[in-house]
Amino acid sequence: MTEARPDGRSANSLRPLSCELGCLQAADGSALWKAGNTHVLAAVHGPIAPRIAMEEHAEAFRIQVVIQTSSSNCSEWEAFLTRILTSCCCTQLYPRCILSITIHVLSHDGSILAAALHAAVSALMDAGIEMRTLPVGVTCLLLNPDILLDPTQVEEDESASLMLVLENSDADQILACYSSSSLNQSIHNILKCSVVAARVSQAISAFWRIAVESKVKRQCETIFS
Amino acid sequence: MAKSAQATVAVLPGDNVTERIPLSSKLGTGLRYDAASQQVYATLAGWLSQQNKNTYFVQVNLSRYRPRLEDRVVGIVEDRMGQDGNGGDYYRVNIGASHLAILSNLSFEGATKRNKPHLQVGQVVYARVSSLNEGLLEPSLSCLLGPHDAGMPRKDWMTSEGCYGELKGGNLIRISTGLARQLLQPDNVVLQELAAAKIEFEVAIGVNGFLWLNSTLPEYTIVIQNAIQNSQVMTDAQIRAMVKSLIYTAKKKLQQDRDAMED
Repeated sequence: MTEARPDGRSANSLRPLSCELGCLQAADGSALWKAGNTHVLAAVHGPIAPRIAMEEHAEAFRIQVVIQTSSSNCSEWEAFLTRILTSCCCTQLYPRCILSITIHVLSHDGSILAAALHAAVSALMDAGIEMRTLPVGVTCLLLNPDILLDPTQVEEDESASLMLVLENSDADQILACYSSSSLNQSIHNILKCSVVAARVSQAISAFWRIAVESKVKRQCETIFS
Repeated sequence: MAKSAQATVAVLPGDNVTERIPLSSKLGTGLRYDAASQQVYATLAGWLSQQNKNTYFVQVNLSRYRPRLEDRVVGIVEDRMGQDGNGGDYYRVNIGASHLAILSNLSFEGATKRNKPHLQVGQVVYARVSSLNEGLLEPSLSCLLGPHDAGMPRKDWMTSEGCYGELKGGNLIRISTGLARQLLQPDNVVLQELAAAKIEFEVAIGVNGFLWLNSTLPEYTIVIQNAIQNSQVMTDAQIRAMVKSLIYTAKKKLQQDRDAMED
């Protein structure tokens, strides 16, 4: 039995996406990611030398993620994003450097961790950090027997959501998953969600391509010879 | 082999670009070869382009500089680090990269223990990246002529006629590395137009995005700086019109000031 969602979407549809690259002049890379009413701003500073010499790693760089939001599970989210982004970047190309990513959640309306991940990855692309692959996050709400994608805050308040992170280039490969409630993290649930999420991640990748292409094509006319 | 899809296209990190690049080409920045699958992937979000006949790379416009060997850069001396064993001093130089670069004052043409330049904090130097030190140390700069400077005359550091060395006076501005690369093209429109406008100026462009300008009048320096920064977002035709209008306004203002002073 499928009921209509509060905002009239179907179970599998995402909210409208919007991405603005390079909105902050002072940062090396920045992105403003909007998914419906969830707005997240990410700023990347780096690669730069760490202030404390102990923090540097001889062969690779280290990523530090700071999330500014009113939610309570910030530090879990920070650790989660740090692990994903470290695995996706070509860290050995930047020895002894630190990459500092600051994420500001400007407007909360559900699926914040996925929006934060997308904003961070867009900011990394804007900063020119070399990445092996782009991680795509899809938030799923499990309301048996349905799986609702990209829940809003109202929907998330009713039941905890599960976020799957897939690889951009090979949508069947699951990089990570996160849920605030451990009941959700059974293999069965993850596999059920991954089927639905794989299709949707293509849409997000296509959106990224449009966002980057429009920025690069403008540069082609003016600055790239 | 049939001509594959056009090589110049926007790419995202993780894109498989093996089809777009001939087998025998060299991979520049932003491209990675995966030996296991024998495929070429892009690692940067930018424009896949061809540098010369054989080399493909992903073109990006960044503000932070990543040092490469034999790049010619403009830097600002930050502080004096200490002495080396041979009687010279090491200085830390800001080149807009992740770390401060190291410059020894014995790496100047004709410099010896008794006759070496004393660099002041805040001084601007034009140097080349002589060594990346494997990434374990900061990159090293040198003001000696290098392997790519074959035709340049070898002048001592004391004369100001050498290729590298101190840049006296003038102004330093930060631009993006993409704009710096564009300015270094031989057919660059903005610099051609400024030269044709018959205002005297000299400019040192570092690929690291540091630009040093020197001109006879401060009005001209401001005009040149504005013209160069505006050219980042303009097409060629727009640049020509913009430079003409800036020069005209500046010269008119100077003429008015001169007339006012003579009264």
